[in-house]
Amino acid sequence: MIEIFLYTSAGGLLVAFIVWLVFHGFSRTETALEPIASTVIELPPRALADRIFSDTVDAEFVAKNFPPALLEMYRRERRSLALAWLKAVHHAGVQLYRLHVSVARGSSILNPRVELQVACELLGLLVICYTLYALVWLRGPHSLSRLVGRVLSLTTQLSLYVGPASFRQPEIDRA
Amino acid sequence: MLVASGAKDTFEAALADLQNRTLAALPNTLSRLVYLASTRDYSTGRYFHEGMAWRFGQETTEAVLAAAHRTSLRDLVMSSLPDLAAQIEAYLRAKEEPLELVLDVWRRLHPYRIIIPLNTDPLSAEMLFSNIRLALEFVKCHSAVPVAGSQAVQPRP
Repeated sequence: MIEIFLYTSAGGLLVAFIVWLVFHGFSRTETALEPIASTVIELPPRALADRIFSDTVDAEFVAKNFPPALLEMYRRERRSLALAWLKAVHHAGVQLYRLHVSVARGSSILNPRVELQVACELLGLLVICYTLYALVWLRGPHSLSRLVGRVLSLTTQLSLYVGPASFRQPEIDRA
Repeated sequence: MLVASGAKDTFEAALADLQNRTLAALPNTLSRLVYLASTRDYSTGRYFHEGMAWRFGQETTEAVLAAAHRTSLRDLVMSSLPDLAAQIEAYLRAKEEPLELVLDVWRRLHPYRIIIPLNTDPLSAEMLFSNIRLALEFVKCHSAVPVAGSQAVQPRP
């Protein structure tokens, strides 16, 4: 009897806490969009993603004009660039999430839905990044523009939570 | 507000002056990038141009040269490989020294590493260096000149 009472009380408290979070957390989105002055995260250049992952002009030029040894050099160089770009976007995504979490920890109002959404977006970004690492490693960076586009949109989505003052677009993207 | 507007006008005038008088006379983006890098002090990263400073002031001159330098870098990074190879070949052939010598130095000493602006993001810089390495190999291969220390790639017939 005492056990039933304890479990019911604990369950009731948990439900009350969740309801409180849901109903008092709706203003969280506005707080999350406020800029944070102290940290500036460097986003990887978007303009390079097209060059690395879906450039047909360079690939055709190399295929037509380069001897086999240079063709191999071209593949190696592009693979290395693609992995460096992925590493940068992966790092930026994790940094954006950490920044968001550090702000959320200090906030008195939280929206579980927003927090869950942010966590899912980071998870999605990491899964696609690791998939891309494997694909680039196995078959090179070409014809992966769809997945790369998804990575870019998830990074943009994550950057919205921390505010424009907290990240910086590289010079090459500011044309 | 008027001061800000005046500074902007001076900047625009200085930029137009640089583009029309100097940069327009250079044949391609690579030449412009090398020229703009040469106006920078390698120890301090500051840009100097006596004629422009006399007309527009040192502060504006520095800002204009830095902006033009960044623009040239962006243009060169976004150049396709065939375009970059053509630019490099034209630039190297314009030197008074024999092509094989200049090619050899570029491939071994990587002088192109110092032509980028100070705060270039590492990925853009690496993209440019990678493309220049490929373009140099292409030029070497197609100009059919023997270059010291390279046995791996034979010239195309």
